[in-house]
Amino acid sequence: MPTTIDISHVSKAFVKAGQPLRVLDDVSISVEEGEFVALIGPSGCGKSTILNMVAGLIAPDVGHLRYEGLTIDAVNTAVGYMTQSDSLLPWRTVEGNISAALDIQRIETHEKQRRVREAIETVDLVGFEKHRPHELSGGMRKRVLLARTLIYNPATLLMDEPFGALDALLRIVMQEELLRIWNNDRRTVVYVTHDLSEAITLADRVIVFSKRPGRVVLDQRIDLPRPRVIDSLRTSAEFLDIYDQLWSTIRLEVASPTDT
Amino acid sequence: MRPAVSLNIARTSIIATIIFIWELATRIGYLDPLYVSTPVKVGKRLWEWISSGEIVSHLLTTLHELGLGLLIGILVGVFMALLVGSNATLTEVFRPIITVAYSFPQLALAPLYILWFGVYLLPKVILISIVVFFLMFFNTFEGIKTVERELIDAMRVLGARRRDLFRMVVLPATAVYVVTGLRHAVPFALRAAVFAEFISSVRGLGFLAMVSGRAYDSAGVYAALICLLAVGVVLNAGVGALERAILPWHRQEIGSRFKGIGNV
Repeated sequence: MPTTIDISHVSKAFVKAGQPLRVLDDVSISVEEGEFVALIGPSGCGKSTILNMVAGLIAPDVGHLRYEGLTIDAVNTAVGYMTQSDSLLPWRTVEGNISAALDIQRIETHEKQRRVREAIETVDLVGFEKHRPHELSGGMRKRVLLARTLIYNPATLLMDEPFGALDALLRIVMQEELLRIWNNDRRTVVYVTHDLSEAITLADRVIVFSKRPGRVVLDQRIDLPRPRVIDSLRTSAEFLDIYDQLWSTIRLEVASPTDT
Repeated sequence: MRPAVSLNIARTSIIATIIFIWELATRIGYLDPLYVSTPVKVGKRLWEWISSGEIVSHLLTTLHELGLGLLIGILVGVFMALLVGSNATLTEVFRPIITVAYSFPQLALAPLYILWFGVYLLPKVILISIVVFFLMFFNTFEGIKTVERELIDAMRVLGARRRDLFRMVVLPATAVYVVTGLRHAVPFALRAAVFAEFISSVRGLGFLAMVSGRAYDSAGVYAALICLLAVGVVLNAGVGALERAILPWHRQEIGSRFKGIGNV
């Protein structure tokens, strides 16, 4: 498998209240094409910073990032980025938000309408085309974000706790939806979460980060068969084994004294 | 009964009660009609002005001043804010200058404008457009500076260039602030018009109120004030309609948005 994302020896510090704050310390990760990788770790460990770097929105202080072999030195429009915060445009309808990327690409109206309709069907929002974000529930807004990200068919998806703000039941529904959609095309996904069950359920690989400054402390393959059915998966013996094993590592990491 | 209906009944009855007490107090001699007039006299005076057509030239004069002043102030204010706000260097250069100029009480310049530009239309238009300019500039500028970084970044990853960002994010996000600016600018424009007419003028609703006062004609003063009130109400309703037309997505509570207006 060719390497899609190559992060090598990356460190990053931000200045906070006049003090440098080290968020990443010599992180190296390589993600292969078609791989679903989950990044997990305590909050503030720099997981989101990694996604921002892969998206080309910020640059590392030290180290190197490559996407499909090319150095990332500008905004990376080959990826679809679903951020943690709700970045829907409040003045646009569901349709208008989903078509944003196509508007930017100046896709002609007919083609645009067809693809928007398709995307709306994919994320199950038929009947809400003319609604505006403030008229939607949290789950529906996430669906709009997902559709907006999928519509231009990016080869790679970056997802930053996309369903973190949802309640537990809705989160499972959205995870199922994501797995269903992902199963059709198996694109590369980097998925940030702080929910271990979510990471194991979704990913081929779970990468565990230390407390700030974030370092990779564990890189674990998850060899659960696909397609995965969340209900039965979470009670299976294999799942629980993996969970226990990863949890013992994470607990050590979260409980260990920190230098910041 | 629907809440809106009962609210309107409550409002109407409060106003009716005040008018009734006013009339009653002058009838029984508690208030002197020479100073406070009476609702009946004010009503009569308004009717006289309207039926004789006398009010028309005053109304048109004030509307003319307001229309031109608002138009120029809004266009220049919004344009300058977009220009200065979307360029870091221009922001650095102009922001302090305009802030200092804004701290100055603009109305105090009215006598100068009259000295320079006479007693007719021009000094009023200039005064109004300057007052409006600052309110529109600051609100629009604020709008540009508070565009959410996340929205910009999200659009950049979708491939947006500068021009797309302006059209898709900056402009609509700023529109809210432009409307807020208008909500402030309209009543301030009206104040500026009246103030300028008080200082020196030959026509206009402010002029009418002033000359009536000088003639100890309190009914005339109140009648002119009611006309000004009507102009203000109509202009505000216009801003409200504009807001609903261009910001259908924006549910606003008017009261909570009247913040730091500054001195004019």
